[in-house]
Amino acid sequence: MPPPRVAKLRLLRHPSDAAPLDRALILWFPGPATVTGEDLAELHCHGGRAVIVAVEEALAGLSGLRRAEAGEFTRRAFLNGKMDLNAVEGLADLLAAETQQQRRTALLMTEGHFSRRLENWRLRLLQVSAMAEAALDFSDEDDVPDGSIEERIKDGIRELAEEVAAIRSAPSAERLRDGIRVVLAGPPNAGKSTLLNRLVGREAAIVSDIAGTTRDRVEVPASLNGTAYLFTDTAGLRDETGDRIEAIGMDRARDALAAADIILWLGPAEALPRADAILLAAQSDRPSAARAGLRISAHSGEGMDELVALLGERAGALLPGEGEYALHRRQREGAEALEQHLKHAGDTSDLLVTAEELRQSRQVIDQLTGQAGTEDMLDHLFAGFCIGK
Amino acid sequence: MRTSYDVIVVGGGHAGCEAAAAAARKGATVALLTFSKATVGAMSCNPAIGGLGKGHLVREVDALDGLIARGADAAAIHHRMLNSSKGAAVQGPRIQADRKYYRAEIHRLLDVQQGLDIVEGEAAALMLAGDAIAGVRLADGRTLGARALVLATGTFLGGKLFRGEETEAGGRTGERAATELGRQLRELGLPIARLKTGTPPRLDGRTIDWARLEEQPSDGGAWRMSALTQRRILPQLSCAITRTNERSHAIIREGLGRSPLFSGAIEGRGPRYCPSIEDKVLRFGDRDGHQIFLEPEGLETHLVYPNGISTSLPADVQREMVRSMEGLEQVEIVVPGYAVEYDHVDPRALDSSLETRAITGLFCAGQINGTTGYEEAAAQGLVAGANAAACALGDAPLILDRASSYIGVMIDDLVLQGVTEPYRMLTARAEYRLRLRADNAGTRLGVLGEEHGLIGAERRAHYQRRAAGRERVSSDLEQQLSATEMAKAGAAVRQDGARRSLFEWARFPEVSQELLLALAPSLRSVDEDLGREILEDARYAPYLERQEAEINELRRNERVLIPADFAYESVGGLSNEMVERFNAARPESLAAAGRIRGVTPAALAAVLVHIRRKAA
Repeated sequence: MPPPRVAKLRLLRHPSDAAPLDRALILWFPGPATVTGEDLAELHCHGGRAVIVAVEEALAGLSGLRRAEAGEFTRRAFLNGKMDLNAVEGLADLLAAETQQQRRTALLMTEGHFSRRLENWRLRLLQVSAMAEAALDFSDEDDVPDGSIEERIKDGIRELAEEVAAIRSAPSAERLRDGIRVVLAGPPNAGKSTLLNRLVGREAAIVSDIAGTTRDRVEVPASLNGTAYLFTDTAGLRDETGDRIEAIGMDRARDALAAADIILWLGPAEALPRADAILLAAQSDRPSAARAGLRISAHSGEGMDELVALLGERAGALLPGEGEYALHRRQREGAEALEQHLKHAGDTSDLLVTAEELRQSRQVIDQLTGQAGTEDMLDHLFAGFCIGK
Repeated sequence: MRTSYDVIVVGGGHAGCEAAAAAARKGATVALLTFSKATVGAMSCNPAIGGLGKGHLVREVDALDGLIARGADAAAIHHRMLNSSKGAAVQGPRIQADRKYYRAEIHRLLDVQQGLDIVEGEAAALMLAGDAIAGVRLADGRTLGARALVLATGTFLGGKLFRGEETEAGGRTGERAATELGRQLRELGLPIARLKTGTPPRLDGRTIDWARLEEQPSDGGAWRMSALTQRRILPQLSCAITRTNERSHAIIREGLGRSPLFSGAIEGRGPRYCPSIEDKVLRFGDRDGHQIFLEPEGLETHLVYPNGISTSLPADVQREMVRSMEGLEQVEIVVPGYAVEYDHVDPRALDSSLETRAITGLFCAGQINGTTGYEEAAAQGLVAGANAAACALGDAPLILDRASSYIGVMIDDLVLQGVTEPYRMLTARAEYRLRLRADNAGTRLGVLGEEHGLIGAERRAHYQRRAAGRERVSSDLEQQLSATEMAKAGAAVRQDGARRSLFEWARFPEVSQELLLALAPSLRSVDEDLGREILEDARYAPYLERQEAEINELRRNERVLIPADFAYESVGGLSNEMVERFNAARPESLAAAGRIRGVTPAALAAVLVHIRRKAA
């Protein structure tokens, strides 16, 4: 056995017949100063399938040893107090990260930046709560808080509420994880599918000269310049169709437009579906009348760099910047609830109601960090926990 | 003379009296054992009853047909509703009581109680049969048998008095300390720790220059402590306010070297919210003065209690200090102040019925559990007495949870968190404060009291009258009115077209009291305080509903029980610190475990997973 935390090359042998299995790098970490808080050993084997099967089979023969369930290491780290709920979620994102931006943001969460912010909020909430309680419980005694205490409480609440509001509008983690939704739309045969294929760099959508080739939505995730996008090609939009399938496809296209973060519009300027849609004059290589919009050609590549740059610019506004974290829905909803409670706490003239809203605010924070300690919270947490490490 | 009872109560203070009376109301035969019958019902410290949080406890004890509120009303010589400008949930009724009248009323109530004997004697040792109470042996050799026993010994366990360089054994000044019993409790393995409390010097009111001092008259209202008291009885006296000043502080600082608090003679910890004047001067050195309330101790005595200068300085320093204050230049001290250090049982050794987990039938109530205050003592006494009777008679225990009452909050705090300083009730301790008001104690606890056989005939009649009145008012308040109709009736409410019940309209600031009385005439026909209570419910209805959801959740978690013999050591991943915390508190449910201070969500999760695995 090597000393703790020192990697050594060793020959692994089968425990029963001492047959050699692999020459591997081995490491062991005595708890509790480990990622899970428990004793850990690592065997760095060669990657061949047969090697891994042999080693796993040998390990499975040892009593008290079994294969970890999905997410079990994280779960144990949480159970042993090594990670809080926000760090667990951050880790899940980190493991799923495909772009550099996803990785940076997830790491911030894993390292507890948001948790530290919550802790700061919690301490400040405790301070204003303590002032409110002092004014309620000790108002008739000596060492009474002075007359300005209600103002100080309100000031404290206002500052906190402003900060919570700023954080609440932080970018969403779902967006970061699933990609910015870019929808390509326009009349039939406008070149949407060709453009999609060019953007994602492969023949993801069928292209033909026949109007209405794309009848359903085609969703293709792609990463451009380190940002994740989800490109959606849609059925061409025209006023009337006798084809029921095409009609369904057009409905789906409209749904996609409604949910889009960015729209690439390949139609006439006057039919722009949303004011912020990017108007493209596609098929610029074809001999047709000059149209408004960014001139691009998926064939010649004209305007493609500008388009990608424009997408990056738009996406930047929707995604966390350097050093910013993104909020999961659970965190965002918590921050929204917190903001509401603080608003009510600040608006009322009844100190008793202020105190009650502050208590609710503290509960929200406890729920966000997983400290509320109710069975439901734990159930909820374990249910959404199945992540691998 | 009987030699065997269902329940023995040791100690005749506020906890002991309530315990004995509650046990007897449940039908048990009870012996109230005291050093001396004359001291039963004595108020040993401050002559006030009630206050913020404490007033709630008094009303709750009253709702369960206890004694303290009736005693207070019979003796009240000064009334003050604290926080009267704020919502009813944090209003605290507080009275000054004439000691003599208070004691007399408590004696009267105990005398008329069936099945209750007051026995004079000193409890020397508990008699046990295995791990269960069998009775008590007295210092003179007599024995009394019982199946349940309530220890309500106040500060008399290992009590030690300090005044300057003098010390003597004893709980109150001039009385003996129950040290032998204290030794036995230690031997039985009950965790014992020490706390301290203090009292100020008592002044001769004839030597106070009242004319120079700010007067604080009794308030003009008509409220009483007990729902059964019809009107205020005694003439009302005023208190007066004086202040310490730079000169008093200099005198105190000079004397600090001779104070046992600072010489290290006292090891127990005192309350942060009721500090000695030495503490105040030392810790808030920047303040130029502290308010002192001069409270008359009774109608037929000249004694005055200067509230705010609890001290253990030597008598000569005390004299100099009080004489430095305005109006007290010529004052004479009748009894100098002193500090008391005493043993208490770590209340984490109790379950939520206040029974020790180690010995069946042994209950503890009052200061012995690390609390301070008459009201806290009385409330525990009532619960311990009811449960001692339940234990002896084979009834279900009376368990109050945090959502039901301040009593429930206090007991939960005590048995889960233990104490690091004498525990005092505060409204901030109650998370469901908006529901737990002093004015609705009867509504919250009356039915429960009835179920546990704690309610006597007079109070039962009162509850029945009240229930009938509530029904009338509720049906009046159910009528639906549109915003237009409200406007026509004279309320300038926003015309949002909504129809609401009158109960809902009642919380709108535009809807006046007069209008409500006009639209719901039954409000006039019921007791004024019942009407006020219902309107207060209406005012906070949205919050009460939200809390209702929280409470349902709480009660669901309370049902995830942790077995009494649960081995925390066997739970993987629990740190030693967590195991220690759980073992000291032995929470009865997962919800209780989650409330233990310092318990991490991870530790809680580990325990939950373990319970489930075992159950599966």
